[in-house]
Amino acid sequence: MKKKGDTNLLGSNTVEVIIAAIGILLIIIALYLAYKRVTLDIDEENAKTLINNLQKKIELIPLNEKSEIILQGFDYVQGPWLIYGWPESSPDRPNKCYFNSCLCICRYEEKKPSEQCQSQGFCRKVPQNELVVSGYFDSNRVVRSRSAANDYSRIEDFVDNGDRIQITRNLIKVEIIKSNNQLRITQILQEEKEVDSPNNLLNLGQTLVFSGYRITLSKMSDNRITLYFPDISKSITFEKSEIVRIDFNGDKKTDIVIEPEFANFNDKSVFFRLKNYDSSESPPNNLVTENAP
Amino acid sequence: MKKGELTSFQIVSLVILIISFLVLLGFLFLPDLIGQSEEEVCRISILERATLPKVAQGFAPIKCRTEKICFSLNGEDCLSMRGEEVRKINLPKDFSGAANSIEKITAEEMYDCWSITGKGRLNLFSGDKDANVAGNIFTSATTVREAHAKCIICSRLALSETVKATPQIKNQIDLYDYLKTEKVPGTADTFLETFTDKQVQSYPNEFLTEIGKTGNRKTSDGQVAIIFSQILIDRTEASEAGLDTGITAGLMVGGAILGTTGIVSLPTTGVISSVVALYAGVSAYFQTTTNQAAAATYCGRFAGAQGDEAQYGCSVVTTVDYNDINTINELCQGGIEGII
Repeated sequence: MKKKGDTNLLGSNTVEVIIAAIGILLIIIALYLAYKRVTLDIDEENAKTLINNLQKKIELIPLNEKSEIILQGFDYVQGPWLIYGWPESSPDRPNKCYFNSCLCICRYEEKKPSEQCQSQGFCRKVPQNELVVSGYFDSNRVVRSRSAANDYSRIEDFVDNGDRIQITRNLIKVEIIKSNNQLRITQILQEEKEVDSPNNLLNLGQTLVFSGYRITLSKMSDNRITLYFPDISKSITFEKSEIVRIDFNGDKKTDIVIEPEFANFNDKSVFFRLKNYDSSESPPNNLVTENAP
Repeated sequence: MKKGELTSFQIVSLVILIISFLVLLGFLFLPDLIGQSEEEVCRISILERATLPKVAQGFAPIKCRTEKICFSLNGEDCLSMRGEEVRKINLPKDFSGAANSIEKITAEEMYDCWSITGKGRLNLFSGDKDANVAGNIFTSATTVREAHAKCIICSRLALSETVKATPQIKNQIDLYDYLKTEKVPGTADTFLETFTDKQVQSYPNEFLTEIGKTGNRKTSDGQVAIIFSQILIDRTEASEAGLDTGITAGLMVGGAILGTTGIVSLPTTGVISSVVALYAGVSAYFQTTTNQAAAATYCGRFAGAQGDEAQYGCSVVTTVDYNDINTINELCQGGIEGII
């Protein structure tokens, strides 16, 4: 048996509950819009401006010329952001660029860069067939996963072969070399150190300049070392027990011999003995290359 | 009344709810709809940031866009700003007028930057937003965790190739004289009086000597940035340096600050000395025959949100060689905020 007032109470409350639900929903929508507005918008606006500026500056560089430009990074709310490049031949590039080479800026997520750039990044078509983007890993700005602060494998993901540029929170200098077929964007290291002494400790991600050429220690795994040469946008991987001789411009006069020392120093740094190649010396037995990599 | 029919109270509640929602949306999006000026957007965002409690500061981004200004003689571009949205200033043909125009724009841009950021007195960068934003899995080890200065690049000024190649213009630039003699538009005070809290009308000899020192002269080949930089100082250190009882404000050249009481002597040890050293070494201006680099400085207690504990630090607005990215990155180690 229904008690007196039950029907009215239910009928009246139903409408109020609906109004309250609408109210709460509207508040949630407003808060979400406010959050989106103050956080994501500014990051995305900055990212879009950065890639647009870069594209316009590249377009204005005459063919077969080299130019240095400064990019203003930004204090991202959610990031970091990275610049990636895919040549026309890469099957992996974002679909946004159709059949062209693709230059993108995308927020880092734990998924394939091409997928991330396709869904959330800003990409620009590049007319050149070949596109090389090479950054460096700045050892003073360690990027760590908050969930696994000591997971250094993630750092190596970033180091890789330097095929991306991480947008820092301040300024970045890049060198652009443009020809009909190739566009090369290379980050210029601010903390390069010019060395003339033969023995040098090189930390993972650091670059040193020897005889005018830059050498970056880009990867270390097991007993193998990967060196990246920003001036020629090439990498070479070799055993710690091997010696590498790099001929930077093919004239056999500016070769640098790189000989890892104290190979077991640790897994984040290695001592190198650097010297200019002396043609009167006979090649060492453990020389792995004599040509430009 | 029929069963299920809305009462007048319910209808009123619903209408109030919808209107409130629309008003809230209006506050969020009205500035875009009515085309609020970029300067207003910047000013409001700075006030929002400064008045929010420390924990919420990270949610209020600074929306100041870096203005790019190109000084040219015949409408030609500034090469270093190619591809960017630029405000071009066509300089008068007479060399003196052209130099005056460069001085005027520089002084006004410095003043605007100083004024819009609360004359260095607002606490803008104390919120650690990385810790507050859910889902942000990355952090940079050196940026916000430690006491590093953060910056806003208010504007960038560049000379076209023609202006660069006209020494008759550059050699007539005298920014110090302009700051001393010219009034801030719309006020009765000169730029010098404004930067020194209305107390100083001319440069004492000691300060002129400081300006003349070659070590204090840093130049730029063609582009300078007007940068606002702020660094927080630990309360104990601020107390030791006397910042909790007094302030230091004025025009800085080298390590000397021309303040309200003349040349201010600064501690030669401790955190203030390192902050001054950081700021003193960065000022640079266009390559001219004399030193033109100056900085508006404030060291003291910041105004912040009610309820937050007092914050101390130093702020500076100065011109820096934009091509010297190592210096800028050193000055702005905590990061550069604002819109590119």
